[in-house]
Amino acid sequence: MTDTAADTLQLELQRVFAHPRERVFDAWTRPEALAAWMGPTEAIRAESVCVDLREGGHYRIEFVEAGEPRKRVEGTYLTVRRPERLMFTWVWAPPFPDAGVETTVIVDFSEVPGGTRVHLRHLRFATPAVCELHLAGWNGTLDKFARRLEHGLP
Amino acid sequence: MDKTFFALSHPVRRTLLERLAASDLSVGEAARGLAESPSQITKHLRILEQAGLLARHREGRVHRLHFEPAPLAEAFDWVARHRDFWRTRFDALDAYLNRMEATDD
Repeated sequence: MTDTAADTLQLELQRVFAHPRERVFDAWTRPEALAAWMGPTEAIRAESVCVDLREGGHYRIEFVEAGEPRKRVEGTYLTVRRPERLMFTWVWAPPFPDAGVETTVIVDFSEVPGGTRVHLRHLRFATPAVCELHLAGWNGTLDKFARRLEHGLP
Repeated sequence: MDKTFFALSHPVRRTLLERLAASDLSVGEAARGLAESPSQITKHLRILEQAGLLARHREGRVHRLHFEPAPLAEAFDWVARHRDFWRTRFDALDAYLNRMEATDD
């Protein structure tokens, strides 16, 4: 259960799950699986999960929380390469703060001792050219900015 | 905020910003040693300015560039919120996979 070290402005998470790769991949693509784990608490459930699992296909997930308006996220699958890579756009519907902004999620699944490493990157600016630059890596150059903000420097 | 992420998406722009985060510099000082033409540098600086990440002061004929961190605060916040979102989802995914395995027996 680790996050990458250089994760100031690049949203990147990695974790090893003690399960075979196909099973982990399928948990990301089967509607009943997504409904089970995308809503992580008793209070917030994921439902109305629709998945058209092919490149160019759409998905939609709704989050239901008592007393709150439903939150919906949806997008298009850009890459579906079982069991190694899933890439899709991720767009919140209103009234979520970032509604309408298209972002891109890249999930890579690799076999490692102990199971499957899931490597997730969530990119804010989603054009293919920028994806390429992101995939080449930020290499932690923005740590200094983070420290400046922490110290309240102008 | 997209202007911020776009501005930061290019390695040369990140380098320019890092140098300016250390101190105010003239355009020439900021671009020293970079393998970019003057017009490319101009383009990069314009993108950074449009994102609100740098301000320009004129001192006589010299433009001094100053790093403005405010847009980064918003971008860091976006990253932090979504990192929390995915972290909790990973926990739930782990629990789900363990439940599924248990029911296989």
